[in-house]
Amino acid sequence: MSFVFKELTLKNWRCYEGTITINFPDISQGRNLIVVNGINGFGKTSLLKSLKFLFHGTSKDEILEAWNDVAKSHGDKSVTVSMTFTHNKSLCKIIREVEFKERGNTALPSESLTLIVDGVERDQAEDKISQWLPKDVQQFVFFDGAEISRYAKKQHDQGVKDAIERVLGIPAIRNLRTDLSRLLDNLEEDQETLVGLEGKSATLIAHINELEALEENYREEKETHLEQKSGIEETLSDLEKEATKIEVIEAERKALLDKKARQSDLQSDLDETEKHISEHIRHAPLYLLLPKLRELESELNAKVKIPASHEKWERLEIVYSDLIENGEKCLCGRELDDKSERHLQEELSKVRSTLEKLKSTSGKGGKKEMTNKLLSVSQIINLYGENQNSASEILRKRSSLNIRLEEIENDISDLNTKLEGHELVEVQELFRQKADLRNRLEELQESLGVLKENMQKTVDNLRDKRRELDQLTIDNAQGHRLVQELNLVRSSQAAVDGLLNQAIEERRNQIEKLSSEVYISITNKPEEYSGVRVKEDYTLEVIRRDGTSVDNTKLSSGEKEVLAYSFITALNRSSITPVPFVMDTPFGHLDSTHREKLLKNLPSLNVQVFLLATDRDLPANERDKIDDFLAGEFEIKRDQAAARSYIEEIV
Amino acid sequence: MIKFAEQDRFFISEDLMGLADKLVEEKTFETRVDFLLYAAAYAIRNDLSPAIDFKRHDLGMRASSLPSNLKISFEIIIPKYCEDKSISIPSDPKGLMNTVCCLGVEGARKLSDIWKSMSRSQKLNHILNVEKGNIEK
Amino acid sequence: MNDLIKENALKYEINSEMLKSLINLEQEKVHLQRRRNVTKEILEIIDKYIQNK
Repeated sequence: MSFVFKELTLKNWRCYEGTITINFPDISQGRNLIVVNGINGFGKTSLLKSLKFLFHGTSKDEILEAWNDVAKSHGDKSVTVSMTFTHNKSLCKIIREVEFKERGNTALPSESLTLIVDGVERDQAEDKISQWLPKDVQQFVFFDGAEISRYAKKQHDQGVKDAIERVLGIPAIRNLRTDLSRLLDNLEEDQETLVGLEGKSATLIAHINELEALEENYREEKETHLEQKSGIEETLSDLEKEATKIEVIEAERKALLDKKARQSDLQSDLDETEKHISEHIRHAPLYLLLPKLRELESELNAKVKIPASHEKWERLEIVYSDLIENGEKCLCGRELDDKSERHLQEELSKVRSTLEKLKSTSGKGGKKEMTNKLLSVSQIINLYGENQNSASEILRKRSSLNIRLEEIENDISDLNTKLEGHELVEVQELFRQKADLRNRLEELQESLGVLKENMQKTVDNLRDKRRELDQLTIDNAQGHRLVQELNLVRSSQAAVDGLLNQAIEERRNQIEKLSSEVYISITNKPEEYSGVRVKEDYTLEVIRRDGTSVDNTKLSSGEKEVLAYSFITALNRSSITPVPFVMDTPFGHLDSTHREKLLKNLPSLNVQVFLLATDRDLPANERDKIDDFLAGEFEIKRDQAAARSYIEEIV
Repeated sequence: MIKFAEQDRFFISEDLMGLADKLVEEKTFETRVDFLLYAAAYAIRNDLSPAIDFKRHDLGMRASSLPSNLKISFEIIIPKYCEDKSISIPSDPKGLMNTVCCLGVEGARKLSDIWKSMSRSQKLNHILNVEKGNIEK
Repeated sequence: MNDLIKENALKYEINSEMLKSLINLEQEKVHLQRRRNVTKEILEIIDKYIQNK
């Protein structure tokens, strides 16, 4: 570790009255954790603020607020924070002191900063300190649990982005590119002076200047094109999102039309069914009369069949008459005797009497009328007897149609509510805009292609002309040296150009990889999440296993905290100048599982880690989990009668 | 066989006019006569005797408007029904109309009781579920 | 980062140690508001490598 805090001294700083000094224990063999316990209001955040003040100062209002009340009332007019630390094997000390001078009723603070490196006081202290710990980076090393949401923001402003890039060492490369370009200009000017503005060289230089101007024009044009392109792409992406929403709405609109068509079909079906029902109701009396009609049918049947028995009796009459009048032999061939004849006579008279009786009964109503009645009755029974069952079928159909209609009416009403305020025109306009933008993008793309080609030609041309000029320059020793310098600066510039793009990409990938590792090792949902995505402006997104991202606002406070911790530790591990890591009440939103996993992760940070904790951050029953990497422990105590806090080491 | 005279008109008792109008209004029946004829059939099915002594209200509809199958059914059934119930058998078309209407009034009075707390749908179910629900006997 | 420096130095045929020195020089000055004389220091580094070539 190149940066280690050794000793902190506070004088009249906030709740710490008088002078208190904390000697931090040596960290070795994987023991990098220093815990400072303290209940709320005793002075943990004051400690964090003292570090921020020490390295980067603070506003006048805040410094007035930081002046301990007791000291102020006793007339002790100085506030000091100082720290001894090692940095790159040097022993350093920073002392930031404020003297309050009275002017009338107000106290005016006057601040001084001293930096001592290996026993020697250094000037430009502010610059030096800023080199070790840039102010913008402070938020990532002095980590305030109360401001956790800041780290799970959807968008960072440029300052945060710059600070992150600074931790990653990007600005140095960017500056090198600018400085090389400036140096190149200087050298080229020297070259012009050396070759003189006459003859061939003058023409060449003029040509080079023209080509440079041309290249510059192309470059500017390219920039404008690229800006336009990214603007269009952004708008297109917004439109795509809008289109997705609208597609859903369109699908709903189509569903509504389908439902309305279905509703109208069902209504026609229902109307038809109602007609059938009316028809059945009209014939309902007949259904009721059917049993009576059936009774009548059988009675009439019996009556209408009497003629058949008439024929039987008439045939018998003929047979008996024939036998008596003509025949002497019986049907079996025997001769008829008197007794038999008498018997036949008796039978014949019985037959005749029955026939008389039958004729007298059937003759009254008339056979024809009865047959007609029977025909009508049978016809009605045939017609309605079978239809009877279809009535209940129709009722069932009507009831099911009513249910389906009700369902469809509900669906229609839901869809109407959803579609309220979405006009069809919007959709058409959106698709028109999308098509226009796509065309514009294609045009730009084409134009960019042409530009690139022209630029390349110009650059090649420029390179050739410069070589020619270099040839003219190389004639003497001074020229020879200058050409060597020019060539090396040009090559370095090209290398730095390549390096810059790759470095940004590589650093972001590294942070993404480290953040993901830490996040997955701590999250309660390792099955659900696959890691963290670090976007171009270094904002974060949690990624699900299916590749989709989680909306940061949907994360719980605990999840946001884990996300922030993952990013900060990844940044710390990627930093070119790692700084001790101070966390003030960081685990307020975490459950015990998250907390335990996070604690286990702390030793992986290759720096001193200060944990300013309440008993909620580090409950008594979980203390054994940090035993293996605990370097030392302190407790903030408070003398409530004297209204002063102080710090004791727990041995 | 005694047949309906085409010009003879159906009547109902005054006390049932309200019900008849309501049934037509809510579209349970298309006409008041449809209700009357259903009630008459209901009376026959439930072996009721024709109502007597009530104030008649002319329904204005002639026998000619009756569907022929229903007309024939009544013409055939009524004499037999009266014979079976030992009540006077109609001897002319007016008598036939009289018996059908009086049976209708009697049936309607019974139905009025049964239907008093039913919705239209329930009444339709009752009417059409001949085999299941609407037979008292 | 070292790999990237080496890769780009190789690609543009310059000494990777020289490139590293240039970056370190900038790294030391990155916190400064005005980087005075930095082009001069860059040229010195470059000249050193020309001499040693």
